[in-house]
Amino acid sequence: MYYDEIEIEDCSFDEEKQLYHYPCPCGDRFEISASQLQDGEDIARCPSCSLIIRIIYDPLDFE
Amino acid sequence: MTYRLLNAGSNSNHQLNECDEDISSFKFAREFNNGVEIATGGNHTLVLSNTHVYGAGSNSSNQLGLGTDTVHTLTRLDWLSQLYPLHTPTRILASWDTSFVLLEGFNQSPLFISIGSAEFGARGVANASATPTPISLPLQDHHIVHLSASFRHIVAILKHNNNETFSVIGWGASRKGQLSDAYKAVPFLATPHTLLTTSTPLIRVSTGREHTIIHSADDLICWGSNAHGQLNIPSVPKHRTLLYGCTWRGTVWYDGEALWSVGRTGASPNATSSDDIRTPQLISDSLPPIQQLAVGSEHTLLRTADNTVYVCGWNEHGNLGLGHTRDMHTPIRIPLTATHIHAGNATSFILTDNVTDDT
Repeated sequence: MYYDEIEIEDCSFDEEKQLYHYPCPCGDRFEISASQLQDGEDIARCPSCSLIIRIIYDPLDFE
Repeated sequence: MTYRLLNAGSNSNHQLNECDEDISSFKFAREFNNGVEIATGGNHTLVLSNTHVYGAGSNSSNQLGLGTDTVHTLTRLDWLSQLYPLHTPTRILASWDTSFVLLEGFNQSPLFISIGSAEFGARGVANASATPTPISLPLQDHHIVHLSASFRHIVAILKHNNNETFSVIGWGASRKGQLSDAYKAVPFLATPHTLLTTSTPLIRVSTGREHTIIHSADDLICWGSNAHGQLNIPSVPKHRTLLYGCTWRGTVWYDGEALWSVGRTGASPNATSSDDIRTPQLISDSLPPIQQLAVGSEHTLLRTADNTVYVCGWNEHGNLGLGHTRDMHTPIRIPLTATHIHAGNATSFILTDNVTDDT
């Protein structure tokens, strides 16, 4: 179960922290690191609430 | 007359109150001598009352134009009158981390300014700097009928001052068709684009995360993502009232008799969308006549003719003000009255003129 499926082109990328993020309806942001995506993990979590999203991306872009 | 602004919900950046935690029962924020208009971004709050704009919450993108990263309590944005001494603010609007103010003045051309983040073209100006900038809208011969923004796209309905031409102008995120099919697949529009011109009166616009619904005198115009069925709102007979608003992934409306929803409108937001939410679902047909509907990211507030307030939807941050954090699938009455209501991103606001409504 997840809140939504979000395409990676709709995420923002934080170069410094190597994190992709996307707004959460609570005001905070779902986060997933570039290395997690590289490892095939696709669930981004919001640090402030129970909601999670699945990131839609092409694993080949992270090889 | 004295009005008290109360709020509840997610307070992670002090967008509600100077206290350090979420608020699950409506709490006093500030007193005003006049009515208010409220606009909320992801983590910031704007209040317009008697020609002054107040801001609170995150200022990390300079969306409040104040000196600090976080503004802990509603603070008057005095830079507006310093920068634009011949204008007064008449409307406010907010997208995720961007703020907008309409400024009007005697013998002055109206200005619609933006401040804050330019991500996804939200500022409506090319090469936006951190400082406030007027957006290029034809306000010398048009007036704004209605405006909406909540996430990353902004839509305005304008009417020509001397004829019956209505225009829909939009900017910001565009990829899902939320700024009309003509700009679908374009990542974003950084400056205002005319999306529609018509002689049919346009009444109202509401924006969700990736959808836009415009109420025209003829029908509803629906643009953008329909991934959760959020555009499947049926026509309402012309003689009936229509109040409506968009959650991030759904639409809630009152047709003069009953309250309906389609798409995802709150309770249990982590659950997978089922097929049945893609067709209109009756929320309630036993409520008193509804006067105002306030639709947030994943919850709804409504105000009936006698200023009674009902709430329903997602409640993880206590944003329904019920003193707990359980989601509500049907509207429940709260023990407060309001003359105005607003719902944001897991935040709720009520303005009350009743001195016995205390917290």
